[in-house]
Amino acid sequence: METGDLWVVVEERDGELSDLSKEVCCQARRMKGPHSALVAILAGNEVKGLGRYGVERIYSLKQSPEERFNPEAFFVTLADLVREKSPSIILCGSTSLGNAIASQLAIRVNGGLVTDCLDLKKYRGGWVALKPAQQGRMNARMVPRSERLQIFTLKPGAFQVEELSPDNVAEPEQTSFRSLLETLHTKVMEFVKSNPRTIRLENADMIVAGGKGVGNKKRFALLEETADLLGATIAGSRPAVDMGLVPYERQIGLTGKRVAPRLLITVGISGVFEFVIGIKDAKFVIAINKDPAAPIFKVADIGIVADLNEILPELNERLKTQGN
Amino acid sequence: MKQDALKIVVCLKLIRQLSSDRGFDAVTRVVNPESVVTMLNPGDEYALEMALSLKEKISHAEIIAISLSPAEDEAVLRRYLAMGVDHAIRIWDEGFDALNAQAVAFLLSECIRRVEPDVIFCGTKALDTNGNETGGYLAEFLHLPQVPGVTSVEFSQEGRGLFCRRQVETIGCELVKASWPVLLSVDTGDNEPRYPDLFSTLFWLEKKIETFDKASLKIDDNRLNEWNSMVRFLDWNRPKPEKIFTPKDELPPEERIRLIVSGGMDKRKTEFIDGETKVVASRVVDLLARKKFLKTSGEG
Amino acid sequence: MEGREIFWNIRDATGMYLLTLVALLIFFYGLHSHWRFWKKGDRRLEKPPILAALKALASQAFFQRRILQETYSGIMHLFIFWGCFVLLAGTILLAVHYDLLRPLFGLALLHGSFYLIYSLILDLFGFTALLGTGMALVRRYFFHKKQTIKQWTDGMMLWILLLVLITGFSVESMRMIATGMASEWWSPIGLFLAGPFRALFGIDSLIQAHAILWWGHLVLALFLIALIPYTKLFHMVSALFLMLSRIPGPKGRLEPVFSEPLQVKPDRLIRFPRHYLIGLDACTRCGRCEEICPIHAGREGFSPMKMNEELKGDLRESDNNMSTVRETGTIGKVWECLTCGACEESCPVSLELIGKIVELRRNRVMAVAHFPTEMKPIFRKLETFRDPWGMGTFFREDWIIEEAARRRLRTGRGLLVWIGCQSTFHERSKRVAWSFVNLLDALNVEYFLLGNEEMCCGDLARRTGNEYLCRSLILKNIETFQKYGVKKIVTLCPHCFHSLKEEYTQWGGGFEVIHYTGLIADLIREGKVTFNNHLDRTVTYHDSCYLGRYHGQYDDPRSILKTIVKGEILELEKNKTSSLCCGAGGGGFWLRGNAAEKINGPRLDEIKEKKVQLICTSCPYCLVMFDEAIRNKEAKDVAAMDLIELLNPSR
Repeated sequence: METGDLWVVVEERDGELSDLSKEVCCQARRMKGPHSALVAILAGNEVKGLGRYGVERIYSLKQSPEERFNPEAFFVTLADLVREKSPSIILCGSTSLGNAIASQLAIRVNGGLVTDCLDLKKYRGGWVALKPAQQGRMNARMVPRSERLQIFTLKPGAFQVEELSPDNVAEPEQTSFRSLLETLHTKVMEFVKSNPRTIRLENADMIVAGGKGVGNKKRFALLEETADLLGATIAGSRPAVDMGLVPYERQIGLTGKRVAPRLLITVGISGVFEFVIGIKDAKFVIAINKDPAAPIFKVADIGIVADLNEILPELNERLKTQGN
Repeated sequence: MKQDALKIVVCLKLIRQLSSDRGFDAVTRVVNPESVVTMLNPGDEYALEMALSLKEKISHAEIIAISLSPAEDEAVLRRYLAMGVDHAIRIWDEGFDALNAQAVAFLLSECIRRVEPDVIFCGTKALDTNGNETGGYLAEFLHLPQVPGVTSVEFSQEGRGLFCRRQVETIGCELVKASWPVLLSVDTGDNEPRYPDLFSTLFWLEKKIETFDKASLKIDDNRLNEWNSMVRFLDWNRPKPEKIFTPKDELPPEERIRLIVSGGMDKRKTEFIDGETKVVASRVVDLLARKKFLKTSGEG
Repeated sequence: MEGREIFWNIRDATGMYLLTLVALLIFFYGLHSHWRFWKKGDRRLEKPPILAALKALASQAFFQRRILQETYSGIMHLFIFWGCFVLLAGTILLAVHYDLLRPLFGLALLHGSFYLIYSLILDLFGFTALLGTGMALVRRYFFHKKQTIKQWTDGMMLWILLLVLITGFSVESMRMIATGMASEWWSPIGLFLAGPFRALFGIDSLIQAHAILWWGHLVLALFLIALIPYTKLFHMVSALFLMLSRIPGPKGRLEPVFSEPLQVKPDRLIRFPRHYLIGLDACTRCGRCEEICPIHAGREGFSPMKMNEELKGDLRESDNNMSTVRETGTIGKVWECLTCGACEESCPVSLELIGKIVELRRNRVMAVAHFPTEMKPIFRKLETFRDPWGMGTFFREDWIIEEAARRRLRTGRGLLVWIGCQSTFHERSKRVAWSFVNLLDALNVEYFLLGNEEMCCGDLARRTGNEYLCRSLILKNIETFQKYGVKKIVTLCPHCFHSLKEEYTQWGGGFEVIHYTGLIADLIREGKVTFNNHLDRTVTYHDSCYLGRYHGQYDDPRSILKTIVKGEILELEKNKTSSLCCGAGGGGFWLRGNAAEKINGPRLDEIKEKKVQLICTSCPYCLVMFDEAIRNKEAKDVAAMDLIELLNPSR
C-alpha cells in the first residue's frame, strides 16, 4: 500500500509537453492510490495544461537552461527532492535522459527500477511490470520490492492518453534549490535539432524507403515530401542506392542496414529476400507497389497496389491537411 | 592537446542473443539453448571502438576491459578483446547467472573501483535484457557523473575534459563537455567498430585474462543480496499480438481494416487496401492517425 | 666444298668478342637484380613436381598452346619465337664451329650438305621471324587495342628486332653477291634480296656497306640481348622460372597461410611469395586478362595486368612489403575481383592472378585490418552465426518442407548432401534444395543431411582474405564429417564443391566430393534414371565459374540438359572456358560494388538477343544473380532456373 505520492518526471522542450510525458501522466493517474497525490516534476519552466493529464501538483525545479537538459544537474536536484519528500512510485518516460536519471536514482535511494515498461499491473501489494526483451521477441515480467521506492520508465506508445477536461489544473508548489552550476562535472554546450531525414537508420522511428520502382530523383521527391510530413527518415533498397537516389548509409538490406522502426513505408520496392532480411524487426509495414505479385506483399502489414505517382501526391495532400 | 596516461575502462557484456523467433517455447516458457548465440552486445562494441579511438589520440592510454561472464564464454570475449584492449578482467562466481541488473552493476563497480579509471565506457542497453540501466547504476555506485547515449567523443583543449556528442532520441544531438572521471554510455557510435588483425587475434588467444570471484573482490554478500532483491524476475511471456483496433461503427464494413499479426514477420498476413486512389489515401492517413504515427499539432 | 667464310670482309673481329662480353655482362647484371628481388619472397611450401614443369615447358614454350588461344597474336608470337630461337641456335652453332670445334679439334661443322641445310633452315626461320615481327608491328600501330599499359620500350624492342633481321638478311645477301652466289638457292632470302642490291650498289660500295651493316647487325643484336632483363622481353627468362614452380591443379590456387598446430610466420601476411614475384616479372603485358575480365569495363575497372604493373613498382619500393603498397589505383580495386578465373584462363604464361589478388586481400584483412566496411559485419556474422546471413545454425533446417527429407537429418547413412548457405537461406535457392532432395528420394538414393550441424563451407571467408576465419569453419566442419564418418559428399553449390574438394585437404579432409551435376550425369550414364520432361523452349546453359573454368566440368551439365530438352541447346558466345561470370563470386555477392546489372546485364542482353527463353544454371549464386538481372531489366520472356528444378524423374 503506497503511503507516499506518485511522481511523474515530465520532459518538455520549449514549453511543450512531449507525447511520451502525456502517456506517463495518464498511466500515473491510473496507478494512483486514493490517498496519494500525482505530482509532476518539471525541470524547467511552467508547462500549460498538465492538469488535463491528471497532474495535481507540480514541483518546478526552475533550472536554468544550462542545467535543465543536463542529466547530471537534473538528477542531483531530483535526488535531493526525493530524499526530502519520499514518494512511493516514480514514473518517467523511457528516454535516454529518463533512464539515466531513473537508474542513478534507484541506487541513490535504494529502490528498484524497471525500464521500458509495456504494461503495469497490481501484484501482491506492489506492481508487476511487463517489459520487452530479446529485441521484442519475448517479454519479461519484473517485480520491484513494494516497500521501497519503485521507479518505472515507460515505453513510448505503450500507454493510452486520456485527456481530462481543461478545468483540471495542477497546482505549482515551491521548492528551494541551490544553484549547481559550479559543482557540475558535465555541461551542455549546445543542442542541435535532428533532421529526421539524416538520423541514423538504426535509430529511426519511422522510415520511408524507396526502391527501383521509384526510378528517378523527381519521383523520389514525392517520397521525401511524405517523409518530411511524417517526420520520418529516408532510406532505400540496393537498386535505389545504385541509382544514386539515396546514399549507401541509407541502404536497407543484406548488404545495408537492419532497421527496426515503428513504421516503415516502402515505395516501389519489390521485396526480394535481400531487402526483406533488413526489415524483419520493423513493427508495422505499409507497402506500395504497382505490381500485385511483388514479394513485398507477403511480408507487409498493409499492401497498396498502386502507382506511386498517383497515390503519393494524394497521401501527401491529406497529411498536410491532417497536421493542421 | 596531449594528455598523459589515461586509464579507460570498458564494460563488456556478452549477450545471449536469440537467433530465431521460434527459439522460445511459448508453452514451456523455456528458451531453446540451440537457438541462442553468444556475442558481444553491439552497444558495447561501439563503446570499445570509441575507447580505442580516444586512445589513438593521445600519447599514452590504457584500456582495461571488464566483463561479467563465465569461463566458457571466454573464447567469444577474446575475439573482441583483440580489437586493441590492453588488459582484461573477467568476473564470475556461482550464482552470477541469476543476478539482476543492480547486483551486476554492484559487482562491476567493486571491480572498477580497484582499477581507478579516468573514463568508463559502457553500452547503454543490452539487446537481450534491454536494461538501459547499468550505466546509471555504475555511475551512482562509483559516485561519478554520467553522459548517456554518446555517439562520439573527443578531447577538449583545456584540462581533463571531453567533448561528447549525445543523441537525444530522434529529436536532436547535444554537445556535452564533461571533465573526467566520468562514465559514458554508448548506444551507437559514429565509427564502425574495427575488426582485429590476425596477430591481435592470435595474441589474445593466449593472453591471460585476470579473473575475479566474490572472494577475491571481497564482496559483501549482504549488500549483493540486498541489491539483487530490489527487482525480481517473475517469468517470460510471449508478446501479445497487436490489439485489433476497432474502427468506429459508423464506417461501412468494407472500410474496416483488420490487422492480424501472428508473432513473426514471415507469417504476417497482408491486408490490402483497394479502391480509388483518393479513397485509399484517406484510409491510409486514417490508419496512420489511429496507430499514433502522426504527430499531433505542435510536436516538433 | 660448301661452306662459308666466317668473318668475310671483317678485318678485326676481336671487337665482336669484346662487345659480346659487355652485352652479356649487362644482361647478367639485369638478371641478377631481378633475382635479388625474387629472393625477397619466400619459396612455396609445396614442392613443384618436375613432371609438371616439363609438361608446362613443352606445352607452353614449344607448342605455345596458351598463346595460340588468340589466333592472330598466337601465330605472330609463334613465328617470332621459333624464328628467333632457331636463329639464336644457328648463331651458337656458328660460334661452336668457329671458336671451339675448328681450333680445338680441327672439325668443320658448318660444311658441305650440313651447311646447306643449316643455311636454308636459318633463312626460312629468319623469314618467319620477320613475318612475325611485321605482324606484331601492324598489331601495335594499326589494331588500336585499348590496353591500360603500353610502354614505348616494348615498341622499341620490336623495331630493333626488325632491324636486326633486315640487317642480317642484307649482310647475307651482300656477301653472296660479293662471293659469287654459290649455292644461292640454299639461301633464298639472300637470293631474293640480291637482285635489288645489285641494282643499287656497285661492288666496292657493296663491300663497304656489308662491313657497316655487319657491325650494325652485331651491335643491334647485342643491344637486344643486353636489354632483355630491362624490358618486356624478360618474360622469356621469368616465364621459364615460373614454369619450374608450377603445381598442377584447378585455377585459383591459393597458398596456405597456417601450419598446424596453429602457427603463422609473422612475415607470411606481409611479404609477397616468391613465385608471385617471379610472376610479376613474367607478365607479357599482352592485355588478354583485362580484355576478358568481367569487371574491367573499358579502362575504369580493375585490370589484373595493371595490378601486376603497380605491384612491380610498389613492392620493389617497399622492399616486398604488401602493407605499404598503394591503397588507391588498381591495387585499391582489388576488392572488386570476382575470382572467376577468366584472367588465369587467358594468361599465356599461366600467372596465378587470383592467388595474387587473394594474397593482397589477406594482407588487408589479416595484417593491416583495413578493408571495405561491408565485409566487417559479414566476418562477425560468420564467426557468431556460422553463416554470412547472420541467421544462425538453428535456422538451417527451416528450408525442409518434406517429411521424407526431414527423416534424413543426421542419420549418417549414405551420401552426405551438403546444402550450402545460399540454398539454405535464400528464398529463391531453397527451391533448388527442395528439388534435389525430392529427386534423391524419388530415386531411392541413400543420403543424409546435416541440418543444424552444417556451417558455412568457408569459401567466402577464404576468397575475401580471412584465412583464419576460414580455417576455424573448416576445422569445425571436418569435425562434424568425422563424427558421421563421411566419405562421399555431393554439393549443390560449385563454391562449396571447390572448397570441400580442394581446400579441406590442408586440414585433413580427404573426402570424395562431387557436384550434383556429376552425380546426376553418372546416374543417367548408368541408366539408373530417365527423365520424362521434354522442354520445348529455347534453352541455354550458363557455365558457372567454379564448376567450369576451375574444374573443367562443362560436359556433365550439358549432357543432363540434353536428355530433357527437345532440340538444340543454344550456346552463348561466351561459354565454357570464356563464360562470363554472374558477378557473385569472391565476395561479389556481398560487396556492394558489383551490381548484378553491371555484370549480368550484358549477358542478359545477349540472351535476349538470341531469344533464349530459359537460362539453366548449376549454381545457386548464378541463379539469384540472373533472377536479379532479369528483374532489373524487366526481361519478361526469359526465366532462370537451376538444372535440378527442371528434372522430373520417371525412373
